[in-house]
Amino acid sequence: MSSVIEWERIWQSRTGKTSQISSPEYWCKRAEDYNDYIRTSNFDHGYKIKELLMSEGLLAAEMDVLDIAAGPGSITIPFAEVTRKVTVVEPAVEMCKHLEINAEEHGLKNIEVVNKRWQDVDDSQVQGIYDLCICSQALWQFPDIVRQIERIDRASRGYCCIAIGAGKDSESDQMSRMLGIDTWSSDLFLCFFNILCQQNILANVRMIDAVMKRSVKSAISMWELNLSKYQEPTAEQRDLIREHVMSNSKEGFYEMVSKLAVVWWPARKGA
Amino acid sequence: MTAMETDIDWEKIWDDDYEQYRQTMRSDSDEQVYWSKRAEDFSNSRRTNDFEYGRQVLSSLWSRVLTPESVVMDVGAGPGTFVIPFAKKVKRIDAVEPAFGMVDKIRHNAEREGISNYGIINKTWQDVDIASISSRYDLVISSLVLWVFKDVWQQLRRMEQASSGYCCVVNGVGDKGDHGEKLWQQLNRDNGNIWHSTQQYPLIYSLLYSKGRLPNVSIINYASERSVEDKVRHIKLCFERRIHVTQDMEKMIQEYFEAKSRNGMIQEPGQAAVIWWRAHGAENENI
Repeated sequence: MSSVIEWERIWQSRTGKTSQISSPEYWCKRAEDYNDYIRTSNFDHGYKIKELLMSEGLLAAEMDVLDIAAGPGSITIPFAEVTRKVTVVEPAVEMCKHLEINAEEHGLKNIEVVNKRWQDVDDSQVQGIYDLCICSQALWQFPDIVRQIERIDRASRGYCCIAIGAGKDSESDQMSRMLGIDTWSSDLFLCFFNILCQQNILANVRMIDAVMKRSVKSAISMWELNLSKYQEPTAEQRDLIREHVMSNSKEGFYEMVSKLAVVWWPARKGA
Repeated sequence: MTAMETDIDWEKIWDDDYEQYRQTMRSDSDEQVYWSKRAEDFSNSRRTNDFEYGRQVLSSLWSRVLTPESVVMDVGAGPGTFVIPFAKKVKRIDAVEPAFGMVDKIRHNAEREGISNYGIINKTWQDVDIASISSRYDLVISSLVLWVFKDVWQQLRRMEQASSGYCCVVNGVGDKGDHGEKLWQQLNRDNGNIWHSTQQYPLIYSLLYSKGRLPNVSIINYASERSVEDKVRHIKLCFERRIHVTQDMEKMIQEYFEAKSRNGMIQEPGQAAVIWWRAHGAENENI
């Protein structure tokens, strides 16, 4: 039966190594290319998730939001435009700097940035104080998934929301295979879904299209830095990356559309 | 090394679960006869709060999947659970329902509600000729029916073939400790009869996902209300499919529900997962 499959262990096994080598220092190196992606894509998935949650009545002007592992503000910026305040927990200082610039450019003053890992946040300081806790495209950073879901749940007095890539054999998977990168952390959605079910969390799911548009330079940097987590890129691998990016680029921009699962549930309050 | 999800054979898990369930049933148990006998209490339950269950499902799908121009097929339509609320909003709904008792209830409920934009196919879903209805419907929906299919993936594929738009499966979720299971444990404490209970929702979802579908989910809450008389009949029929129900057992069932009732009625709030996905254009299909 599916209920006896050890989903938590599968998650741990698939994310343990990748999360370990994706340190705040790594994300500081990635901050420039990642910020380029978010800005060039016009905060695409952030605005789409905002629209979705607003249509479900989960985002409103009087609400306080916690954005976990916010990066340069892909969720923070769209959400801060329609809520009272967004508190950001982001461990990479370079990401925080980009986020602050993006906030200023959007004229937003209702964002508080906490430069920390989510795992290091003191639970007693954040218990039940947010109307919505969201974590977008960063759940794979937490091998101890059940504990982190419980902590996210406890920080919310309203809803919890996770955005996570979905769909098999994405362009990213194919590229990783070509480069010989360990792809075990890709497509974690089904594992996450079953973990929620085993935790008796009944969640809503919407599959949305997320656009990733970035400069050629940013795309090359993304792949090279991603590869460098595992090994020093060889000249041959660099050529492969360049070739791949150029053949998928138009007018200087690399553009991909992928599926993102937006998953939300009412916080269990006191779980 | 830990197995990846891609190594998991969801069809086999379903099949094993189906076989375990069948082993708990009497060999002379007939689905259609059972559901004809259940038509009265099931219809009353589904009519609660003006077909609240069906209306909640409709509301989850409205504008995302359904419009006033939609043509819908309901597989295993029961007493008109979806036929009645859907027909009021969409162009037409066709009901596939094999049990005569349920077909009578659909007609009765439709007449009572002044509904005429519906059709009935009095067959099992497996006997419906898919080629003759290929891509005919904007939505093919089914509620609490998949558990009767041993070859569930084949039947889901047939639903997809009949649709030019979306498919939807609605499955109960949440509290497993319902009245039926609690009573069964009380009545069978000493004889070792097993109550087969499974969480089908994650299984159905995982099967669809493993086949390249990307299903959406809405969790709905709804009310269900039956008289004590209806509820006793429901549970007695349900147990009779598995064991011989003695007079003592029947008395205990009666007393159990009388104690639980309020003004002669049994309230059973429920939760369900409304799972819907695009029928065609499934990426990376792996059939």
